[in-house]
Amino acid sequence: MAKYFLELRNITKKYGDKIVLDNINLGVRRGEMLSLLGPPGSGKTTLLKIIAGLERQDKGDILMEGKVINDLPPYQRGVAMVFETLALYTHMTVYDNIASPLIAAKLPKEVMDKKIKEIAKFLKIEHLLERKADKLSGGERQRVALARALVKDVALYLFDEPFVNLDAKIRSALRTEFKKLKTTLGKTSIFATPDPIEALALSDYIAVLYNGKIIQYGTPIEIYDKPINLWLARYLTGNMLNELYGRIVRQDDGIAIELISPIKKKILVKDYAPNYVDVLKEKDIADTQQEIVITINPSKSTIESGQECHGLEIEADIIGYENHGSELLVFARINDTVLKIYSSRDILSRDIIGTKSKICLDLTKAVIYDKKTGKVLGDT
Amino acid sequence: MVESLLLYKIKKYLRVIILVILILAYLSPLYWIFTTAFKTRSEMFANPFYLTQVTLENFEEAARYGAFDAITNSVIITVGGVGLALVLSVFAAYAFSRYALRGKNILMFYILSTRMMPPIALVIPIFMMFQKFGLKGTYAGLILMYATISLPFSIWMIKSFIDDIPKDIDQAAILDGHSLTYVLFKIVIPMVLPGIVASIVFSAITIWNEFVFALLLSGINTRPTSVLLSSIRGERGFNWGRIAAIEVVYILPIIIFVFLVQKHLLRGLTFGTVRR
Repeated sequence: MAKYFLELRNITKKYGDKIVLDNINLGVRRGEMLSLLGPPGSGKTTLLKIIAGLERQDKGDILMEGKVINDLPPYQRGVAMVFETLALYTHMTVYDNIASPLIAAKLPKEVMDKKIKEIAKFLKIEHLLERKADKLSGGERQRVALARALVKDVALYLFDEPFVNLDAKIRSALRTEFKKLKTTLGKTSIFATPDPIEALALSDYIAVLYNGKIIQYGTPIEIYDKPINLWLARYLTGNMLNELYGRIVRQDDGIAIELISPIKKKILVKDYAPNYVDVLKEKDIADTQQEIVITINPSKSTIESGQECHGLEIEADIIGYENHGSELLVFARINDTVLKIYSSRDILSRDIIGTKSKICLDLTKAVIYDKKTGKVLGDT
Repeated sequence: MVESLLLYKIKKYLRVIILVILILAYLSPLYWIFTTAFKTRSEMFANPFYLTQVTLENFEEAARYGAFDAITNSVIITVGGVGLALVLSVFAAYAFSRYALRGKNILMFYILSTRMMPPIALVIPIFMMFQKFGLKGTYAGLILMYATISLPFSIWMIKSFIDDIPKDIDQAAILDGHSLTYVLFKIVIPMVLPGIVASIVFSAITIWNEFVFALLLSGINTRPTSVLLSSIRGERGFNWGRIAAIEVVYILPIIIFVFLVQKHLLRGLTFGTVRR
């Protein structure tokens, strides 16, 4: 038995001179949910359509259960898809929309009816069945599109940004249903999204797609904890990353980081980030005084915690905050750099804006990148 | 204050008066045709504006003159021409919209360019072709000619409507397991119905009203109404009543037709441009 249920080998696709997908290799195990995470235009939709057989790759093979299915027409691949545009048949009723794949499969009427009512109940759209598809709200249309895909009994489901253009409330409601779907149906699915939070929340594995290449593949935790490059690190936090700039220097008492911005300070790696000692003592890194970017997630920093700071302590001006419900996102400025720190709401007990506060950055949780190439250091 | 109110009132009435004049100017020929058609011969000159005595004798005379045969011919030619153009243009439009054809833009331009030449310039070669192939004077010939005239516009119009439907819709249906025929007839065509109706109306009006080709390519038995009207020369001077009666019968079907499809027509005419 093949290791992967679906396997992509060297998939390449060009539109004219533009390379949309560049040598994609990827495997999905049975029952797994894989996210294709990437910004718009990274090739997610094209990849899904190639898997579905709606577009043809220029090079490479698609394997399903170990068999090459390059020449199989879409409907024989056993795939259902929710399109980014939803692609509802707006001139038909919701019922007829959901019925479409069943009509094509020539199911008997009673079986069809039963299936449609079941899926409608599952997605809470029973009351909409007789309505025309162009008379639905955004969330309803989304559910109908989901229903039309899920009513088909296939082994692989493809979801192309199914939650895009929805407001936050419907989004989170649908996300919950999605999880339910995954656990109750246990189907293999691939899920394309530009939203890191969605990818992290829903998937077993994430493949990060950037300019037609998979730049990182791993579990959500692996990806979140150690993004492969600076671009991805910033993308995952929605540009909320705290970045410190500096260079590596060799001292008598060990490898040190000479911070340049936003503060000037020399720190010993073994004191602040012992986990990086092995990586940074590599001969060429220290000897060339390599310039680096140290990134710390807003959630890995504290402000005015009252406890002793074991990381890097910086004094900064509090310039504002956003209320994120149970937590605050506090903005603190030091030398034209704005640091972002998640904090409990307790600090609101006094007027903090405009005051100086001590910020503690836990460098053991930091990820360090080469400033020139943007690549993570110590990636093995 | 008072003055400006007065000015406002004057402007308002002036607007109404101008509108009324325009409407009268626009409707008076129609009024003339409709009243004249129901007037007796003697009243026609004594009383040019009012209709005091209604008679159907003009229609009887028009019928004797072959008006209803001509209308029937017009209907046959129009329905045939529109039908043929419609079938061909839907297939062509779908192909142009959905497939990457080599030289697609050139082909699309060529199709449109066939409408740029003045028809009268082509009349002689076409006349000769029709005579050679025995199409002159036949319904088939006229239908073929009119379908050719209607095609470019229909293809362009229907294509722009299909372009507005995301390709994802077709792909979703293919993935559902439907055939291309099903996709075209059950999914795409119903979705572009307003556009198809609009193109039908345009083609129908064009063909119904056409005169130059009808005059040259029709025969005694296939002569449509536009040709009949032009050939009326009264035995004792112009018979205005008979002309008006034929004109009424000629105009009415198109008015009724447009009235029936106006809902789709309005959607069809605004969809392509207003949406987005």
